[in-house]
Amino acid sequence: MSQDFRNIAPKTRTIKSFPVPQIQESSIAEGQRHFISHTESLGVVKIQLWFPHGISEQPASFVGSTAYELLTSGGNGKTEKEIIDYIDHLGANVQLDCELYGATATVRCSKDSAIKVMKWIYETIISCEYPEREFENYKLIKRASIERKMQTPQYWSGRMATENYYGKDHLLGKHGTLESVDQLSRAEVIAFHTKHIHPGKSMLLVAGDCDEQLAKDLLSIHQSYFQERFDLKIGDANIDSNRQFSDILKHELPNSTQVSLQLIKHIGNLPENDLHKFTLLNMVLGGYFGSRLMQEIREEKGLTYGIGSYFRPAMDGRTWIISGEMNSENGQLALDCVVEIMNQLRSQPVESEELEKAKRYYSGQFRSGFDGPFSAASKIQQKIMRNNSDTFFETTLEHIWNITPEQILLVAQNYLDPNSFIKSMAGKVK
Amino acid sequence: MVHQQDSSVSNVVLNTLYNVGARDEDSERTGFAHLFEHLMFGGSLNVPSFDAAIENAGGQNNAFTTNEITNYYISVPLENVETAFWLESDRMMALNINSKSLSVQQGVVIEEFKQRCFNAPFGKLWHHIRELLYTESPYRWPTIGKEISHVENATLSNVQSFYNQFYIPQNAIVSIVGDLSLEETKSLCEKWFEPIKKDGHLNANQYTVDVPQLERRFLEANDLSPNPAVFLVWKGPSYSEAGSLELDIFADLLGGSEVSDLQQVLVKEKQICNAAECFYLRGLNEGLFILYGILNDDVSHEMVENELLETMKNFISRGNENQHVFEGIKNKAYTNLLFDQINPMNRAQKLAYFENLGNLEGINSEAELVKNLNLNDILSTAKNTFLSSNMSVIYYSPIQ
Repeated sequence: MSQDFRNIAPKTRTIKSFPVPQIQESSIAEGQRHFISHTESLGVVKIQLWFPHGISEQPASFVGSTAYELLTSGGNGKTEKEIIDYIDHLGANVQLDCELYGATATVRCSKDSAIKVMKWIYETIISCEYPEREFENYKLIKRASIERKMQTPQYWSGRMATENYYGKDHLLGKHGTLESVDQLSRAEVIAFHTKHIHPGKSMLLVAGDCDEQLAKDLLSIHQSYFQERFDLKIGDANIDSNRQFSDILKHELPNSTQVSLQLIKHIGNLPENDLHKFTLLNMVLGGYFGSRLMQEIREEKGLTYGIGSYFRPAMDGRTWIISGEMNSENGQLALDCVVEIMNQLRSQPVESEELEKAKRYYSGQFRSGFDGPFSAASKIQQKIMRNNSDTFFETTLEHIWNITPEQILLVAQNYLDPNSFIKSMAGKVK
Repeated sequence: MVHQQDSSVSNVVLNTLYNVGARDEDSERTGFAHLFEHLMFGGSLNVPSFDAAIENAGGQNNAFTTNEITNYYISVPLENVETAFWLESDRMMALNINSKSLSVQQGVVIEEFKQRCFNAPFGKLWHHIRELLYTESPYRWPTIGKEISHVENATLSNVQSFYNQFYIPQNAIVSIVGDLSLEETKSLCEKWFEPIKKDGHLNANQYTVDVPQLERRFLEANDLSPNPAVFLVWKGPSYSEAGSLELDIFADLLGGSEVSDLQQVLVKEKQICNAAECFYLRGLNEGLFILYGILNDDVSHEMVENELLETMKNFISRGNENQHVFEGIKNKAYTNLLFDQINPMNRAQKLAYFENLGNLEGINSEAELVKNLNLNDILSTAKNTFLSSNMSVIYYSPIQ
């Protein structure tokens, strides 16, 4: 049989719109909003309590994250072992994550055990006393984990870049150190808990096999704890993004065989339309495998296993980060390549074929990001966190497809000046 | 070909498992299966750029290599599913192997080697474990390779013969999960895969076997790590054999949570470790049970080795007193299995893995097997596995 049909690539269709999965929104006392995404999902649910207070409100490093991470450490006569044994017995998993603004308690369990698990979790959160022994153990474990990170070049390139860009006392430049672990005080952690952590201040997000009855029961429990309406207050980074940096920060790790490279800058709050242009510019720069950084530095020159660029949410905006690891001999060469790619993007419009590929890739990923029962809930959380409009998801692809190479050029000229990024190298720096 | 229709997702996953891994390498050319995985993205006879074609279709792809298999996956929007079949079948039929692609990927893999093994704490752990456990078997090196020079010295002819031997339809399993009917899937497979005819045969998976271990083995390693550590390793049954699931659950019982015995005794009560955990790595040939502790200051390796063993012994000797904890771990394992199945990528990979085991139906009985486990069987498997004659010990110390 002839194989000629292989010479021609199958026709591909572009995804320019799709029905965004609908999320059921409910409200209880004082108009507090809660979200439920119901899909058939093998009898399991993911329940999230989203708290509005995070690292930004801690008085000293690690106080907030410790207060959340130790929520199951014991209290009201129950030991940590008793608390976790019961959660295990119900076949549930609990994960506690604290971020700059807000924190999340994520519970994964069977639909049948959801009510029992959540009642237990609510009481555990309220009655947490941070027993001395668990607290001291946590400090030892935290210390060891930081020591492990400190042996990697990535830790130092990231830390130097943010400390020097934002300043060591700035919320975005401050780094928890071994000394901050040693100084961590149980009294401060308890005070943080008393002031900020209560299920009655949290927002409820449920996804999975949550039928009407379960939704009603979960909302009813949540209502019974209500204290105050969820209110996310995001501060202003107050950073001049046009500052210029000429030097390269360096940190030597004698045992390293590589160098870790980072370039960062702050991008303040952007209108949604500009945000989409930024997203595309970042994709072309280093946001996916087909980007210029990956293609030219990894696939063309073989200098690195991975290099890329991404945004990390940071206060009112985001930190734009370009990072990669390479042989110590090639650190400067890779940096030169990065700068050259940035300058190319600022001097000439992206070829329409290249931009089209980025749009097609983005569209496919954007839609598949809603696949599966738990994705929609994550999307909702992102939307609220980033303060996006109600129609953000519905209009995203339309915005993306309307962006022209000239608009990308303009965004690059305004924001991609290599001198406006701070640059750091750590490892075996040559 | 294995297929599962799922109308709840917008993407289709096309997963291809090749029955080849690091165990199929020549001992002087290790890291080759993994290097080859990178070369598979370099384009093929009719596809100048593999990644660009996927990206234009709005999809994504990646791969991983283990000692036993190499697994490739593509996830594309349903409307562009044919692109995935075109790409995967074309590189199976005629990969474009050339010196430029080889030399670039050698550079990439060498940087990956350094990043994973030299610049991360405990990065060379698997080199040490495998060297200690095996003397003759090809399991004695990790997937990344024994040493960088093996990757550096790979030639075009090595690469071509590896491809010819292992990248043939007879040695591949394709699994598809997404909103495609069986008829549509069959028709796509018949169009794109069926015409590929290559000489060769299914990998026989015959390997040199080590003489049985009869006494405790010991190694002192000096490497990048902030603290000293002790690793204890035992060989156990393979994925399909009796006892494998039991040891997997035993690892959860002994060290799978914040309040399991390892954490409670070594980290919290005695405070001799800042981490103490265990896990069972279920392999196709055999399994490895790893029990370890990372030491706090002023604690000796010997003390931690003894405490790790004592904690395990005490747990086993408590017998049925562990029933309550066991029920919890079992319930949790069951819920985790359900959560795993939600992700179509996981399902596609698992379907191919079970088919490779020769037990596709096993995927449907996994949850039942967990539910039907009983504590006595688990403890008795543990007693029979954790013999001092079957134990290998590594004392890890930080380089100065």
